[in-house]
Amino acid sequence: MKDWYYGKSGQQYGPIDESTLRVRIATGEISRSDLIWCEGMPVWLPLREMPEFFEPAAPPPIPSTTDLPSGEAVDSTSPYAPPVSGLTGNQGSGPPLPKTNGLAVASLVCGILSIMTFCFCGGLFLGLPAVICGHIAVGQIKSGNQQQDGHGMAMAGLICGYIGMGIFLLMLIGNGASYSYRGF
Amino acid sequence: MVPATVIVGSNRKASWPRWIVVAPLILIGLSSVHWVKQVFPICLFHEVTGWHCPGCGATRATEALVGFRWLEALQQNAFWSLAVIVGLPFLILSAAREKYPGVRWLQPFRWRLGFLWVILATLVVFGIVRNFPAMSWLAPD
Repeated sequence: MKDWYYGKSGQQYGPIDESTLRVRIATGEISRSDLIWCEGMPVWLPLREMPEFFEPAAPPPIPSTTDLPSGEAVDSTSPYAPPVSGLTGNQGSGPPLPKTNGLAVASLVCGILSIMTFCFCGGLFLGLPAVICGHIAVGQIKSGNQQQDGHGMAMAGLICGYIGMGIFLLMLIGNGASYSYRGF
Repeated sequence: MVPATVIVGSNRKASWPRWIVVAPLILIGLSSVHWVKQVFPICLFHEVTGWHCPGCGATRATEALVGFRWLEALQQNAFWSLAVIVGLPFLILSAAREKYPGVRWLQPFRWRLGFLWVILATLVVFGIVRNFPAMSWLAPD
């Protein structure tokens, strides 16, 4: 039987067998945005992209207690979810769980600050790092050496950075055009 | 024998506690707000467009915060004031949670990356809404 692994908030769990996986999906322990991997899959996939696990047309069979390893016994009459056992940390199996690209986070933080502070030169001194980090992050995520999250975050940081820099530059031009030098 | 103060965090050695550098910088920054306000030019964006950007009033809000005039700070820039009053303590507590994972009362203060999206959305909405005449209570003086 194939060994399955899943990733939840940056932590990797497993290996578990398929019936255990289905139980955990049914109880909500694994949500649709959590990542699933088994041997043979090139990358981790979010559960929602693997419809065979949750489509109502094919409801997962309720595992009988004999199918389960000891400690996983499910009392199907009990209104409570079965206890989640066998949660183990990263055991070094499978490709590394995708992490959010650090530069993407940095880009969004700088971008947010730059659109807040562009009248304070922040448009330049925070917008520029946002744009640079954002471009590097997008490049790193696309290069695909490692599966990484954070493309949307990097794009948001890029856009905020460009907006901050754009407004700051417009202000500089407006400053030069309409006034004698007044600061900046 | 290694003095206990030398070991900071997991297994890194810090030759000096960082707050010795950080704390005076923060104090200097806070005490110079009034001076900064005199030196920085008026905002040309506001001058030309007449609009209040999301950061408009943040300097005045910081000046009010330094003087513990909470209401005045909230009125000048509610987003920035709430970020300082609520967000900053949360960030510090979540950093403490990372450092001392066993402390139970720190458990709710968990930083999630998704917060960044919430902050960005709030900032954009705040920047737009405060320019509506009906929402002028969000705009600075």
